[in-house]
Amino acid sequence: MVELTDDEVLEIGREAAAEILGAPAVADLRVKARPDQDGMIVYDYIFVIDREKAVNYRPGHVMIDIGLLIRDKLWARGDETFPVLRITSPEEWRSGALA
Amino acid sequence: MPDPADLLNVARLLAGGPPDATDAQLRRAVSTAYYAVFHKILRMAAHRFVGEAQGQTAAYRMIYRGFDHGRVNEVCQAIDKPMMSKAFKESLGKSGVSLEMRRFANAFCVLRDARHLADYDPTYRLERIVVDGMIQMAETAMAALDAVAPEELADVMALMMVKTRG
Repeated sequence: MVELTDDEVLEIGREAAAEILGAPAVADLRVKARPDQDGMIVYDYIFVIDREKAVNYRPGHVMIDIGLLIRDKLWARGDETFPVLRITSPEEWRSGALA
Repeated sequence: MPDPADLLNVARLLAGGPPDATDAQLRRAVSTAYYAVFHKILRMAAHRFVGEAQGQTAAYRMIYRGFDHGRVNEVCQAIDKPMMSKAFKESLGKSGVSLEMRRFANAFCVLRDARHLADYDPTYRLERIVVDGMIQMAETAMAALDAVAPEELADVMALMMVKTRG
């Protein structure tokens, strides 16, 4: 399996979110690789999404659609690491609750 | 028996509790949303392989209890990709599953991971908006499962229960 750089993994997440919601809606994102409960490495993404700038924001679908797209983009680059994600808002992000 | 829709309502109640949900409530909401999705697959499998009318039988209970969280996760990760591995292709007789099946599989894996962190990691931070997203994701995953063609669903559920020898 190919091991992508942190920047590549981050960029894939940004591209996926921008394709689903439009680039202006993606205020920020962070990703880190960590082991899951079975010891397998996952990419842990936090997306900061401005819903007011999002194209067709559909609660419930957004996380799955972005997750599927990231999975496909990683797979196309030879990386089968599973992406897990959380979505927050700029207001909550600024409050530092997820930091 | 646990009703997946009721469990999801409990998750919503926990996350939306006035005035502000506590950290404990948010953690239990994530955990409950995951279990709603898990019980959804157990119920559908028991209905498919034993029958809803047989809900009080030992066979129904055995099928319902026959699922292992780790195995379901393993299958979900394996089918949530554009093209499955050789072993899974051979087991399912095709190279990939439907989009609705992938939607469920993707959500299951994300929610299982979040459930584990919510239940066991004291450093895991949650906000109401994040938890709301997870609950909505669980709801979408359950609807996706309802939309999967019965034959495909039966094949995937069988694979979740039984590790084939190829």
